[in-house]
Amino acid sequence: MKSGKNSLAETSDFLASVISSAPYGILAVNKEGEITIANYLAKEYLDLRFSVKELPDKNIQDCIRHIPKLKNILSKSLKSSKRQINIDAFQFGNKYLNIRGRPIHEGYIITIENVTRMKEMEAVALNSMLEGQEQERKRIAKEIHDGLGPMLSAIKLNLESIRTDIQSIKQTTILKKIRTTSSLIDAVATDMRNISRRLMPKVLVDFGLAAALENLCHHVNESTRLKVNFYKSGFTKRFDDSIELGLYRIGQELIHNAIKHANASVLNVQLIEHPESIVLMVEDNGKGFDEQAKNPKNRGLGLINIESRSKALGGDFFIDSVEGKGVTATIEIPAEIELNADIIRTMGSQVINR
Amino acid sequence: MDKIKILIADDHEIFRDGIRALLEKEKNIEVIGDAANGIEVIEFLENNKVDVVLMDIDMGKINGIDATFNLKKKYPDVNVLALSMYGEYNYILKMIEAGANGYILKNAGKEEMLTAINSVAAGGSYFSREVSMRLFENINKLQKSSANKSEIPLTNREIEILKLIAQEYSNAEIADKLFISIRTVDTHRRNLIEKLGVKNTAGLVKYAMKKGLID
Repeated sequence: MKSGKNSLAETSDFLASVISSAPYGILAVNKEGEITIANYLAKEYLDLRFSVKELPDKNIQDCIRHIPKLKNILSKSLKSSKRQINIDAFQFGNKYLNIRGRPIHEGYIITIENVTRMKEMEAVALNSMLEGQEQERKRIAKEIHDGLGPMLSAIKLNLESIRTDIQSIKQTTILKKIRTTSSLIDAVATDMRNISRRLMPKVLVDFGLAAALENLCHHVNESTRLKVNFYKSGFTKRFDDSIELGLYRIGQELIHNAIKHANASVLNVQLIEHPESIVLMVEDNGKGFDEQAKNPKNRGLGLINIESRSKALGGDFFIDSVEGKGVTATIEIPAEIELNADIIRTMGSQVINR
Repeated sequence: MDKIKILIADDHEIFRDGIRALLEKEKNIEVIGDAANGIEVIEFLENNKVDVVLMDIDMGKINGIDATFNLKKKYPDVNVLALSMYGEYNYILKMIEAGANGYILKNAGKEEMLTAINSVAAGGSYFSREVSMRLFENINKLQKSSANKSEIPLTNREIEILKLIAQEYSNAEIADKLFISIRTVDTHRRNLIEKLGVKNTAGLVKYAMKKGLID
């Protein structure tokens, strides 16, 4: 009898040490919703206000009142004891948590894994990818602009010069052909400038985000039937390159979307500098879309691009629409990015350590 | 009559040669030199009398805008005709501020180029059609930058929201009325505060009253 009790004590000691040293937060609750087991990481990840010793017997709903979203999910799952919880990258404060819940015989067990670092690494990887892409675009734009541009101009100038020669000997058919060739060159030059501008607008590099977006709006105004209004507030100084380029690309994508899908007549593009953030708002008066299309899973590639770009800038992308009432897309990003400098540094040192 | 003496400034030799070939046949024009960047322009002017500099903007080492500015400071009588790939307002304005006498695009035909050179050489100015249009479209901005503080225009949606705020509608009520989400209403509200330079919602109400937006 005595020895049996001892071994039980030993087993529970062993279990207790496993639970307390597990790399996950662990919470177990009984059928009444009272906590039976809790470890330190669970307390830490969820910012619970009780100590690990105090937690047993407390009602779990009570303990996570400060996380309404989680409380909501949990209360539903606890009610039907068969329901599992699988939440990936749950955002809480500045943490990202993977939360799993499984019904067990005596109640329910929840594990919490901190994936913040992984998420941040993803952001860094995303940033590097976007940056690589932009570098490449910049290079191609420069090559088109600096290489082909002057060559075309020179061809045109030579042609003009030949035209002068022929004019004096009055060869009307040749003159006509030269005129046609000359206007063809103009068309190619215009196309080339447009391609180069789309790849990397020189105005963005030289004059910044507001000027570049304004020019883009102007360009759309001239080449489509859409009436585009551009408004800005603030923007007397330049911002970090990644902010300017990122927001420009987002604006480009949103305007492109509106031209292609919205069937709108008016588009308002607003760029507003707030004390600590920048808001880019694009509103159209087009056909809008319904609830189903709002689901992130049904989003097209364009919106996914915008989503990842605003994420890379540490910002929020929000889209708002009712069928027949147009679309309002809002991106808000912090005015200053401290782009995970710590992580880049540790990543660097890891490479060196190897 | 003396010939108009021209210096071509462009970082692409092929383009300089093209211009030279085009202007060679003109009886009243003489190309007396070329330069690949802003530094070479100034160096050339130290030893030569030039009437018109055909100035590219994007020349890498010392761009055309800075070169024009430096040139005009030292040689105010030398006329500058900008000859650029860029038709954007920002470049045109910078070039005019730097002191350029004219601005044409590189796709200009021979006739336009000659007209521009002649009028700039005579002490006048010349802006091609696209360039004048760009300037004209932005004329209100030119006036604004000289005025102290300019008011940023509100969108129709913003005026709608401002009216509703002034009538004490809540974010949720405004959202319902306009078929947008509460979050978007809130962003509009914050944008309005920023655009109008007020501190808070009370400031918005005051503004709406001042502008007679409330019945």
